Order: sequence, then C-alpha cells, then structure tokens
Amino acid sequence: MKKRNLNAIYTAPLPVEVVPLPPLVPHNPLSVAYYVYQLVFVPFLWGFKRRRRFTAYLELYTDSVSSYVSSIAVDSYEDMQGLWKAGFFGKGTQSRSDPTWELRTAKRLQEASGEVEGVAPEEVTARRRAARKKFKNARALAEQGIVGNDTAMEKVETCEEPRRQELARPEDSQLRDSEGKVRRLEKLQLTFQEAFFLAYALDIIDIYDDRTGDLVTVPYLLGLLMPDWSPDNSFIINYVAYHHYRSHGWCIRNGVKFGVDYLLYRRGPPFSHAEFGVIVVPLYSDESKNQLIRKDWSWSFGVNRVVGGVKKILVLCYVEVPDCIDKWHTVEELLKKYKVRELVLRRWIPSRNRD
Amino acid sequence: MDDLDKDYDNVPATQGRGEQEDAESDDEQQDWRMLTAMGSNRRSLPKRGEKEYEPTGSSSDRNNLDESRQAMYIALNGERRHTSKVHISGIWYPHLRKAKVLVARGPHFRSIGKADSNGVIWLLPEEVIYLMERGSMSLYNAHGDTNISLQGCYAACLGSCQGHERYLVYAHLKRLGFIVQRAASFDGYGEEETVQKPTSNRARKLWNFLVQKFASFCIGLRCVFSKKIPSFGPIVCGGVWRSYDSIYRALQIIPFYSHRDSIVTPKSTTVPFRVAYNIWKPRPSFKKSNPGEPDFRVVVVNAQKDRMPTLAQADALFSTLPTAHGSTSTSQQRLRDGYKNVIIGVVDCGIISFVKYGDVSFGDERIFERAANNTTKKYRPMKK
Repeated sequence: MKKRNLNAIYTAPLPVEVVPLPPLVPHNPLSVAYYVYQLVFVPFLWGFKRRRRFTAYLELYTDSVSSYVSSIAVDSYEDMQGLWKAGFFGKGTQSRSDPTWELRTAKRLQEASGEVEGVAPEEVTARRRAARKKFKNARALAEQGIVGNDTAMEKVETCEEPRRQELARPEDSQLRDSEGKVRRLEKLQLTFQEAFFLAYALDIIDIYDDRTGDLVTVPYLLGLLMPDWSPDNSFIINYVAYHHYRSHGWCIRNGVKFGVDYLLYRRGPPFSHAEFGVIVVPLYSDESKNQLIRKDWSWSFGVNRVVGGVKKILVLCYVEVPDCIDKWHTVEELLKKYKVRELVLRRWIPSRNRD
Repeated sequence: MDDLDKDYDNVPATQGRGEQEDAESDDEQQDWRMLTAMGSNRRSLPKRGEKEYEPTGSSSDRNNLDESRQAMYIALNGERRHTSKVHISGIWYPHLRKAKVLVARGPHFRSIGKADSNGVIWLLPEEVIYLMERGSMSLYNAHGDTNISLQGCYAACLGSCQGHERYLVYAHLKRLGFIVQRAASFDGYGEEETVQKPTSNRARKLWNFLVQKFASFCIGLRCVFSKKIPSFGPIVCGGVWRSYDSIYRALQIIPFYSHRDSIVTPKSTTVPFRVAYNIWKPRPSFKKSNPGEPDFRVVVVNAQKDRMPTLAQADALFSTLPTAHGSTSTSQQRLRDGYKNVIIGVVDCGIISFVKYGDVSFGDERIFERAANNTTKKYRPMKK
C-alpha cells in the first residue's frame, strides 16, 4: 500500500487562506519592488476577491415546551472537504470522522472495475483488525506448541488484505443518480463550538436556518446556543476552552467517546493520535460552589483508566466564571471575562518510576 | 468524535500486550516455585484470563497452579531468622514520640533515623513500626525492661504518624525500595522550604500590554477596511493575512494563567493537601545529611473522607513546590509532567493508588508556531 503524503493533502491548519510576503533582499531593487507590490497593492486587489466561504444549515427543534438547536451541518461536498482538510472540523454523518462515505460506497459498487482511488481510514482499521486476529490465532497455536514460533510470526508478516465479502445490497440501485454516479448523501456535522468558532472567530461560514432559509447572524446564533445567558452556561464554558486550545495551535475535537470533553491533536487525526483528553470544569469565585461540584477519587481514577488506556493524558481545564455577564458586551469582551487554568492528572505507578 | 477503535487498534498487537502487562504489573501473581526446587523447568503460570485462550483450563495449567500454591505454603512454613549482627533494639519514649536506638547497626540507617548532637540516633514512629513489621527490631518501654509486642508498638506509635493512611503509604513505598522521609510540611502549616521568586518584572508586563493594544488596534483597522463591525466579531476578518502565525496570534484572546508572569507566593495549604513525604529513588550514594532534591513529593489522602482537591486547594499545594524541570525542559515534558508536580497517594480502605498532579499551561507552549510553519514550508515527501 502506498503511503499518502499527508503534508500535501492537509496543507493548512485553518480554513483561511494566507498570502505570505516574499523574501526581501534589500540590495536587489527588483526584490524590493516586488515586496512593495505585495505589501501595498495585493491587499487592494485582494479586496475584490471574496474569501472562500462555507455554508451550513442549522436545524431548530421546537415543541410546545422548548426550542433548541438540534444540529448544524454542512452538506456541500466541496465545503465538507474544505473544512475537514484545513483544521479537521466536523464529523461525517456516515463515517467515523473524515467524511469518506462516498469514497467507500463508490469503491464497494465499482470494486470489480477498480476505478476508485484512495483508502478510507475505516478500511485501514478493518485491515489491521484482520491482521491482529490472525496474529493472535498464530500465537495461541505457537504457545500450545503446535506450530513453531517463527512460522507463526511469518504468517503475520504475509497477511494479505481481507477479502471483501460485501455483496450487492437491494438498495444499491438507489445510491446512483441518473448519470450513474454515487449520490452524495453524507453531511458533515459540526459541534456548536466548532460552528461558532467558524462563524464568529474566523468568519468563514454562513449558517442558514434550515426551515426559513434566513441567514443566522453571530449574535442570533449566540442567543440560540446560550438562551439563558448565565455566566456558567455550558456552551460558553466549553467554547472558551475550545477557543483557547484552537488559538494556541491545537487541533481540538470532541472527545465524548473517551469520556472527556475534548481531545487535543498536535496537528490532526491523520498525523498522530490525540495526546491529551480535556475535561472542562467551571471555576466559581464562590468557593462553596466549587466544593459542591468536587468529584470523588473514584471518578478521577475511572476517567484516568479510560484515557490512559488509549495513551492519552487527562487535562482538567478550569474555566474561571465571571460573576455576571452583560448582554451588551461584544463577544470578544465576553470571552475576555473568562480565564483558563489547567492541571494534568496521570496515574502514577511506583514500581515503574523507581529505576 | 472519531477514533475509539482506531486508537485501540493502532497499537501493534505485540506492543499492546506489553502495555497491558505493564499496567497490570502491580497485581501480577507471584510464582513461588522459584523458592523451591520444584518445577524448575516447567511452563510459566497461566495468565489470568483475559483473552479467549487464557487460561486454557487444561490439566497442566491446574498442576502448575497447584505446585505454585504448594511452594507458597512451604515457603511460609519455613522458620524466619535474623542475624543478630544487624538486629536493632530501641526504647520508645511516648512523650517524645520517638524511639532511641541503643545500637545502630545494619544498612537501614543509611536512610532511616536522625542523630542528635550527642550522636544518639532517634527513630520516628513510622520508622519504628516499619522495622518492627520487618522483624528487624525489638522495642522496649522507657524503663528498658519490657519487650513491646508488635501490637503494642502499633498502639504506641501509630497515633503519632498523622493518620493510618500516611503510615500505609510510607510502608508501601519503603517496601518498594524508595527512600522516604518526612517533608517539612508533615505536621506544620505550609512551611515548605521553597519560596518562589517573582518571575516577571513590570517592564515586561508593560511591553506585553503595549503589544496587545497595538495588535488589537491593527486588527480593528483591518476590520474597518473590510467593512465588518468588530462588535460581534470576527477576529480573523477579511483582508489579507500574511501567515497562520499572525492568525493564531490574533485568535489568542482568552486570558489564561501563565507560568511566565505569575507571581507565586506560598499560600497556606489545607489538610490533607500538603506534602507528607519526600521520596528518592533508591541510590547507593544517598546521604541522610545531604539528601538533595527529592525525586517525588507525596501527599496522602483518605478517599473515604476527602474528595479530589478543588483548584484552590491544588493551587495552594503547588505554591509550596519548586519547579520540576530546569530551564532545559522540552514543551513535551512541561505538558506531560507539568511545570510543577506532586504525587497524591489515595488510600481507600487500605488500598493505595497514586495519581500525579501536574501544573500546566497550554497557553505557554507555542504549538501554533509549529502548526503554522509545517504548512508554509515547501513539502517534502515523507521519509520512509
């Protein structure tokens, strides 16, 4: 299997274009002229060119009692790819993370002709699982002395790709459009924090109300996401943590599968595993409130077992909650009222720290 | 929301196994047959079942277990002896809460006991119980005529150990080979030895302030030109951005506690969140008189009585500690172990687990510079 050049695929850490200044060589007039042109005129020219924008749709759930945002998703294929490849935003609704449903389906439908290139991460996992199963069986045989150890290991080395056993499914005919291409049925769902970051901080996404088709502005979006406007609203607390890690260069993604609020990747899921699992804890100025939300030790060891088991380190991210917030604050002023403080927790094993 | 399966799977099978064994090494079974001549070239004990083929339930597995158990009984039945050469005897003085050593002999005194100006060595209560439990010591009452039993020793000494939990942790670490000594804050209030010097000065703060103001002015100007009202954002507004570095810097608006400009004054710690023991890894060069910086500092907590510390309690504890690494530490080290760290020994009905608390600040580490640089460079194909 050919290794993909990840750096070429995932070029930008954020979905915003940058125009770097050329190197300036002072004794070369041409270089100086070009530098001045880049410095002075490009911003003007750039003014005519609109920044690449993405579109998302917001679904509002309403019943007689309540009304809340149920999902924010991107459905254009180009936008999905753009947001995933630059900063790893969102999750494919039919995929594990990277929206690859279309690729996988196309592969499945056209497997015989072999026209589709690329490998989805789900396939990599399937392959690895098959290889491991084989290894375990071989090891079991070796331990019972039936097959020599070397033969067992050899077998693992020569493990071939698992044979695809999926046959045609009854619904397959409906998966293609009139031109015979796979229909694009997958969406990219954004967490509220991701959506707000893209809309407010980067200003590169237009969110529309799914029913009315109206543009959802940033203040309106904020009102929908934190309707009670209380200083310790879970959206704003989590957003503060999200924004903090994003702004310091971490790729931050939802971590609920690991029992934490967020996962921190140094660059992104294709490059390396997440190093840290973050749990966000509100920190009140009133110490009695902090006492009230104190956790038991069993909680700490439980979370640590899970997080440590997948080789991550637990981070407790305390977000200092202001006593009151004013509706007339700008978002920036609002965010600046919060403050972040972090601790890391790891299980410590004496016998492994002795020598 | 992606990779539960992936993360388990990416660990190669062999490595995964090793990892698990490491994690379980605490509660591994002992093969007692090593003490006897029995089963010298047998197969190893069956592992506790976790995989589909372990244990196999075969008769050979059962024989192995039976033999090992038998060997354990033989070992336990054996008569235990101590050489009189290194046997320690001492006298317990209840009012001093210390034991006076009559004859100091043996290797224990390299890390245990404290000599006064007359050259008499005194033992702390936990040291006495520990030595008594090992069978290395006999203790007499103040008149020097009655031999105190182990039970009597517990009754006399445990009350001066600041809680049963502390003794359990002390003995646990001692048996594992660590050198354990009481910390200065063992029974006092936050009287740790180290006081942090303020690390920042006013000029630096002023400079940071000016840079910040100038940056926000520039961003505001940029936003005016791109006809966006900055009141509800954006931070990264339209117009030309020259580098991801500048975008990240503009995004950094959330205040955070930094190690760079925080002035740490020792706060008074609260019970039980204060350092009880300093511990050193076993080393032959250890000197009681000049122990050097401890390798770890241990706080002891009773899980039945106390919950996790609040940030204020943890903060007070950290304020009494020195920084963990020198100036040579890498960003990775600072994030994983913390700028300062402390071990908390949690005792739950006699079961001891340890957790390491680290004081970190992700905002201090410039991950974004790397993230930005990775992408502005020309791409090279990855090395095989």
